Amino acid sequence: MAFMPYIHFSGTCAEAMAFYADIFGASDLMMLRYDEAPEAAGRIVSDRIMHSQFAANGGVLMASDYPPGMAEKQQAMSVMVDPETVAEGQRLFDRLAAGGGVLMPFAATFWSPAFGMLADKFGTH
Amino acid sequence: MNVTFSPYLGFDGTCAEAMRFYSGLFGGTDLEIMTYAEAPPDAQMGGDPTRVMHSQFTLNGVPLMAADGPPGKATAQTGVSVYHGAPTLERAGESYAALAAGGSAIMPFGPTFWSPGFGMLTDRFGTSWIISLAAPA
Repeated sequence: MAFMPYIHFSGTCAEAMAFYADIFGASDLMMLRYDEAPEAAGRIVSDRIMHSQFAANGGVLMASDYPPGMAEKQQAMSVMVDPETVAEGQRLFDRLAAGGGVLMPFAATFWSPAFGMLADKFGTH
Repeated sequence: MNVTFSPYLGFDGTCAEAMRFYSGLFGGTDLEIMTYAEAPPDAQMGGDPTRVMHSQFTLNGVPLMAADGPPGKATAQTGVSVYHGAPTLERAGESYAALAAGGSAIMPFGPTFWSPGFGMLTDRFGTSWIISLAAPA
């Protein structure tokens, strides 16, 4: 895959990815913790997520936690999702926006019959 | 092609320059750049007319998209990276080197326990990249 978003969380990766996999109907969510890495590779003793991913509708979403002690919020990059119907877009928008904040309500624009932007409860845009 | 998740980058006035650089580097042939000046007048988009409202190019059918934020409101990119899976180890190394020039390495390109070639960097436009040899399909 040429370009994919890779999200970095600060300890909420497992919870966020389980939430996303459920919303997008993925059944192959995998997660690897830092303390599951080979010892020879310099294992970090932490139950934070070193790598996780799932596939849905031909795309892949990947994410990890920063190593312990490191934290940054997500800024200036969004994950773009292109559902096939307005109804499906509205369902995804509503579920992702629950507990988060709406940046631009889901509605018709001059470039799309339905478009919206939000930041979810995990800080992903 | 049904692409579910695409990265959408935000810049602070350097979007056009950055996207021309990325498109050239990856061999994109369909780069489109639309400024705020090109929005329909009744859309009332506002904003600096010279800034980029939307831009994109595709590589193997997968889009990379970006825009400039409004002046004074744009923030640096943090907390999310663009993952690029290169077709060969050599291409992965070349892409890493070209993106890292003028930027800074986070994890130098080299073999890891999960990949024969992997590296992380922040480029001179502030975009963070994870460059890896693509897993065999």
